[in-house]
Amino acid sequence: MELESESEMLETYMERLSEIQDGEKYKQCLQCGTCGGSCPYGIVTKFTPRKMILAVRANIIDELLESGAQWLCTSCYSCSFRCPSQIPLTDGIIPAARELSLLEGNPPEELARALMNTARYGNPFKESPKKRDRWVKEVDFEIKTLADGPADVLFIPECFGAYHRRCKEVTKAMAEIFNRLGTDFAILGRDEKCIGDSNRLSGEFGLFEELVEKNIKAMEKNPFSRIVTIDAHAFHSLRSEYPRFGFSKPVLHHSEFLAENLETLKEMFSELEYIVTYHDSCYVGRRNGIYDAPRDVIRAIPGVEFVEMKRIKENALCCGGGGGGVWLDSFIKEFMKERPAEERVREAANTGADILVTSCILDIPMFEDALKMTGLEGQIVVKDICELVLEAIR
Amino acid sequence: MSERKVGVYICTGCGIDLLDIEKLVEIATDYPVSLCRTDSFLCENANIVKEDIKKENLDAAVIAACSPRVKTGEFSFDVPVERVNLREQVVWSHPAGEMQSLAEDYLKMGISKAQKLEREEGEVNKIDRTILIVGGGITGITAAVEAAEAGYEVILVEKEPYLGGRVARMNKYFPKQCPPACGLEINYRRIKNSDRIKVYTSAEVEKVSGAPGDFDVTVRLNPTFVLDRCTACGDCVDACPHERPDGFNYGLGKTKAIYLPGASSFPFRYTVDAEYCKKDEGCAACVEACRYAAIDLGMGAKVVNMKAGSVIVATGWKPYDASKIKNLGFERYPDVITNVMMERLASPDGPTGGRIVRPSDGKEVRKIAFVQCAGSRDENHLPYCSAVCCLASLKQASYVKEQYPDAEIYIFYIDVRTPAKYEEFYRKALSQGFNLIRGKVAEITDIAKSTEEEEKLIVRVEDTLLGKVRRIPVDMVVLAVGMVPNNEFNLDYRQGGIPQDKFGFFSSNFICFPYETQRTGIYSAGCVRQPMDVASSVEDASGAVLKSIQCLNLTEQGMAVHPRSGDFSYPDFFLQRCTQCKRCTEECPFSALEEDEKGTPILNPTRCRRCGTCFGACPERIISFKNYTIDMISSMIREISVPEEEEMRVLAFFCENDAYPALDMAGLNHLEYSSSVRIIPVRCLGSVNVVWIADALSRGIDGILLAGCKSGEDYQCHFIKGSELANRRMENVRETLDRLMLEPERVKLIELEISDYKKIPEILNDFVEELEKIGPNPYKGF
Repeated sequence: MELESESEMLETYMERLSEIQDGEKYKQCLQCGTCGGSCPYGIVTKFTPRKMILAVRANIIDELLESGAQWLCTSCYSCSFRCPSQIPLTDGIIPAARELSLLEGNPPEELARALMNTARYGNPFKESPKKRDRWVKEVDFEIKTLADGPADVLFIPECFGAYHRRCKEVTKAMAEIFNRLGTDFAILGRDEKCIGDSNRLSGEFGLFEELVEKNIKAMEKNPFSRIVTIDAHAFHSLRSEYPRFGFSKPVLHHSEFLAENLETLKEMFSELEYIVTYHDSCYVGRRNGIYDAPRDVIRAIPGVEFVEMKRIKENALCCGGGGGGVWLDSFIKEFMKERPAEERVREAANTGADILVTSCILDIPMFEDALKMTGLEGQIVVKDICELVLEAIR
Repeated sequence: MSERKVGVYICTGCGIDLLDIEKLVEIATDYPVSLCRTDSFLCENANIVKEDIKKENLDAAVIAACSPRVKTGEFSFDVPVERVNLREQVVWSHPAGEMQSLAEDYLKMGISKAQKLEREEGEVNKIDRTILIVGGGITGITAAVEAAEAGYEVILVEKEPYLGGRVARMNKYFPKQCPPACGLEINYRRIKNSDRIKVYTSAEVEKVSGAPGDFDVTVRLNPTFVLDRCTACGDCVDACPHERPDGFNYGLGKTKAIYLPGASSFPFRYTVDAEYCKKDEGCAACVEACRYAAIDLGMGAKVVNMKAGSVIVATGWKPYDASKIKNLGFERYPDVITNVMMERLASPDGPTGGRIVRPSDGKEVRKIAFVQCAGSRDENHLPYCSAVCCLASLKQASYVKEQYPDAEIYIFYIDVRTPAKYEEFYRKALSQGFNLIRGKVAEITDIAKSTEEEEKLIVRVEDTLLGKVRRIPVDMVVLAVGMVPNNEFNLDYRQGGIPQDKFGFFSSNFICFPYETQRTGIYSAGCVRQPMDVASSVEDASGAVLKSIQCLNLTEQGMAVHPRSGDFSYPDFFLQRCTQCKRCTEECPFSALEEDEKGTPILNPTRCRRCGTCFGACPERIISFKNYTIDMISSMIREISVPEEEEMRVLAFFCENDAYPALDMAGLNHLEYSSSVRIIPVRCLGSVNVVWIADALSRGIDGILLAGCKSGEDYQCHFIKGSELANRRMENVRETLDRLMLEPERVKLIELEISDYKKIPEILNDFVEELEKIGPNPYKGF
């Protein structure tokens, strides 16, 4: 679909904005530039969020779309978090522009493919939905699915956790922790579809809603009391977006679940001689204010020396994987020599840590790739928090 | 009640003679009135009323003429007067054919009210004419000397051991770049020369209770451990082995546990910081060193009770806690400081003797960043502008320029706010060659990306004019943090402390009633009222002094303060019938009512603003004013003619502050509106008692309209929440109507501004039309 004119574009844009909570607040923009200064791509983009608002005000959205600036957003939430007028930049200004880009039919190819796959297969990898629970066969205990009966915890591995070769290790680690703790847990298995937060943030609002409906339906098959997920973006979406569609169960990030069971885990811990630093993943930290749970867990492991990076908590630098960024590697390289993930692993290595602990599944491929690019491979290892915990209780 | 002698006077001027005057006279004389006269120019000939009052011993007069809002002097007599508005609200606003019955109703209503009017008598109160001033900063000091020099006794309480507050800790004032010590010195001299001012430093007001003219004040005198005989020789300091962080210097540097709290110590003597002194461990090094036996480490706190007639709260502000602004690196990096710390760094009596150097290593400052709106104008921190930071940073930038003429100075701003005459200061500052960059700083780190950035703090900002994100390495960063009001104040009233605005400042309505705190006799001034600079604080102090003097004088005479200034009436409670429902004590906008253990209201007449909110709230109708009672209005309602069948009859309560004047304006502009409406002015919609509505509806009146001021966050109600309360009460009324099978639409509340008078015909006519659609009140004729 081609939008006929600029005014039609503006109208579509405004309509979307009006559906987003506080979307109208863009009118209160002070043009202070906090967003631009906070953006990991602020230095290279032609349109910082501030300028995007200017482009909307001046009705030159086409210039914005042509620049590609809307696709640089990693949805890291720094701009929105710091915006003195609390304008929904990550949830509104940017995805609404992306939506126009999609309607115009010219999103970056890699991302377009991922979105299309998600629409067709329920995952961005073009993998068969039937293979979504294949990882279960790689553990040596039984894992039930919700369709078979009720459970206390519904465990959501989400697409990366279900299919990605490296990320599956995290899923299995978490499953094993559940098993060791004796948690009554189940998965949706083949019924699980992409939770969809990246689709929403990529401007695919329609697809997101479809995914939400399918997942909610799958969750209704049997009762469970709460969700635990290893995917920070799924965590956020289930906790903050799904309730708009009638979903109302408590949702825990796995770091919260680990912290909750810390007393039991402590009895199981054996010593690990590591120097560990922790990366506050955007959707765990900045977006949802979970700073202490992962730190408490890491610090509780005997033998571990915990060190902090320079930018922590609210100020942590994004890995660059969110908001579709994980699909936009070559697109982003056109803009920037050193990607945020590379800057971040350098910062982590500077602490002297041997392990960079993360809590968002996207961090793993992003940082492991960055380690290769920076030559830091071998000096520091990337692990999800549950992998570290599992190692300590093995 | 014994028969009261009422005289009725009907003016026939200004077009009132379009009415059938003879008929009106006939109606008036149907009542047991003493006399009824007509005059074609009554305001000019008001003497006839005066003479009658004397000759006939009248108890009250009814003036049926123009609006009560005009000719007030002419028609003010030694007896209560009821004005019947035949001009603006009858002949000027209705066609000839419709005005007679309206005029007749109004006349009857006026007479019936006048028969019950009693003279309001102010009781002379014995009051304490002392003004308590809380806070010894620039505002408090100014207030103290101004009040004392106007002849009032003053108690000045300051929690620090010195006077001058934040100002005493500044290097220079803008715009003249003069040292504050100069202005303070004059004020200290005025204080010392006045025998009316009692100063208590190292003292805190623990509690205020009572009422205007009669406040009880509890002051806690904190021990300084140093006696008056201290000569400030300083030997104790040399002897003292313990240190404390220097609070006066905002933590930059240290002093001994015994120290001189700055040049403006008041009285000029040393003081001991009990938190850091090791006296409890037996250390008495200072006592041994003191040649004058001026140190008493056994000194304890003392609590003293005092009396005051009015209070000025000038508790000032504190800088916003910069560590809450996580992205700007305060506390993480020692060379990120705040603007108040910068004042100390630059002050000759500061921690570096006035040399501006990096706190981390004492090195010179070659490149410096001033970060404006550090937390201000930010919904995540302080949503408001603190008014002084732009000027302060420009001033501080010139401190740096003075010491380091080659220094590179960056000022990062959203908007530079230097209003009015300060524009000149801005221009002068600019001419010194500062780099002003328009952009709010996003991040401060020490993560170097180039050799130029090494060992520096890097300011990351979007230069919004250039349209580029920049990284600017500097030696030091000054955060322009805003003002947070010191808003703790223990007022021992039924409704608790002093109400705050949404930002935490003590101000209820800053355009109409500055200094007003919603607690009669307690005024706020300076930065606890709103952020302001020194010049404005000085003005504020004088304004608040004027208000507190006004309050004392009015209170002494038994009169209300604004907005009903001069009103002698006050509510009288017939307590035998009180059911202790606590509505009045809960709803009084000024917390004028206390409660006994059972919940019976206790009126503090001098706190009362006479709005009648209590009277509107009372379900037992036991509250009345001499000139405003439930019964008076009820009898007026009983006088309203209720036509049978077809014609609608509407009773409208109009707030006399805005809505009633708007109605007059409509008349003045000869705008015509429905003659089915009968207007009764009320003090405030908060004073409308639901019994009137029940009365009216049970008499067959078809609809009730209430017109008052705007409610909500930007309320315009002179008594804060009158329309809001009326709205809430009407919700209940509508529920009752529903039960009585009466349409809830029969009761309507509208908000009307004085300038809305052009809308009046539409509003009234539409309401009558709505009622016509609903149909007549089924209780008609019962």
